Amino acid sequence: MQAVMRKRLSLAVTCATILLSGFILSIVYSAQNVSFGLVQNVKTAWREGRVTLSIPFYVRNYGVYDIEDVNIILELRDSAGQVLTKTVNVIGTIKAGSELKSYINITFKPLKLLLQVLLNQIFYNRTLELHARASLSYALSWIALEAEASIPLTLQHMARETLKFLVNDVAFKFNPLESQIANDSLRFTLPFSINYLGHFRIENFELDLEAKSSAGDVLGLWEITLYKLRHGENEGLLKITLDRELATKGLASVSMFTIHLRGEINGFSFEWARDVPYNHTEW
Amino acid sequence: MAHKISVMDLGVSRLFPKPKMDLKRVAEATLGPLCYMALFYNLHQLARTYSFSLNFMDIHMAMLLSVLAILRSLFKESLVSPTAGLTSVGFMFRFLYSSGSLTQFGVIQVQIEALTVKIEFTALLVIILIILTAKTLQCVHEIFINLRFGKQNLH
Repeated sequence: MQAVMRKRLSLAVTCATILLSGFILSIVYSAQNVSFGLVQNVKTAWREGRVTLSIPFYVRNYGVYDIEDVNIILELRDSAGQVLTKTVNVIGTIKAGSELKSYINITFKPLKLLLQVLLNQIFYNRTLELHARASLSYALSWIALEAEASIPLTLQHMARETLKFLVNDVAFKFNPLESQIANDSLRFTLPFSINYLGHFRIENFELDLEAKSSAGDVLGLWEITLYKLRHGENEGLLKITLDRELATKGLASVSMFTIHLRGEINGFSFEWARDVPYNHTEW
Repeated sequence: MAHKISVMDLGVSRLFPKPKMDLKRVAEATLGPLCYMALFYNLHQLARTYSFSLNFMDIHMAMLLSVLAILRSLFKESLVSPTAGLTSVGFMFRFLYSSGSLTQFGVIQVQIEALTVKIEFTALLVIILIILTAKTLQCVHEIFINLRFGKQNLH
């Protein structure tokens, strides 16, 4: 009797071992057939004082198991850890043998308040943090995965950690013959080089900031152009054009700023533009 | 003049009986290492795909565990089997803890540049430990039976 029990127990343990080994091998093999990535062209939507950035992505699940309960949470936090904005993206279940294309959204609201906080944070050199957290269940919910990343967002931090900014060959050019702008303009062209220590590959980067009067005239233009930013030394150009009215009256003559940003990060192109009304008494 | 010599047989050899080389045992000894090699190869490929590294995911660890699996399968009735089994488990946990990957029970943490990834598999780990404990107890039980059977035969 005891021998029979022992044999049965031995068989049960052997079967359990075989099943467990097969299950673990199937999980590892299945995970190799899952891929994900970002699709190009971020979309922006503006509505009632809110801006939503939609980042398209894909997930290819050609493994054996469903990927369940997929959630992506994006938070913008200030230096005190307070959450300024939070967006929860509930992706749900990605069935085995299927491909999902969707968007990760991040919404900033209310826009004006957030813009003021962001500018104060940047000018006073306080750290903002973009915190991303993704969670999912895999293999019949036997495995739970959580991924977190925090990216600091101050310009000084980025400069200290990833950039060495060197200024070469400053050139001044005064041009009184511009007919498109009614007054004389002062133009600076500042070639610079950047020693970049980061891992992103940035190409055709252009950041323009235009200052406009109430009549719509362009009073000032700041352009930063980087044709390529890769690991190591890179060349860039800063062009500043100042109208006489801006140079003499200062920001009091400005009623609108237009920010235009475009470029490609690791082959992923983005473009963003925004008019920001400006009243020097309020700011 | 005859001298009386006393010999005390501690019976240590009963803890290391000659292994029975049947087809089932040889198949088990072949399959175990193959499973370990397949598992480590796939884990290595997975780590390369997602650009993370776990210190123990190398060929040396796979070969070590394979050799221990062969010993465990062939020397089932001897003390070698549970020793090899416990050594395998010990090596695995030692590498996981020393590499900093196993931060708490059932949670592996890996760093991929700015991303921190936590993989929780507590329920699966409990089942693995239960099966390993059952197999170890089975081995120990067989050793005791052999020792008792051997003692009875002596008497």
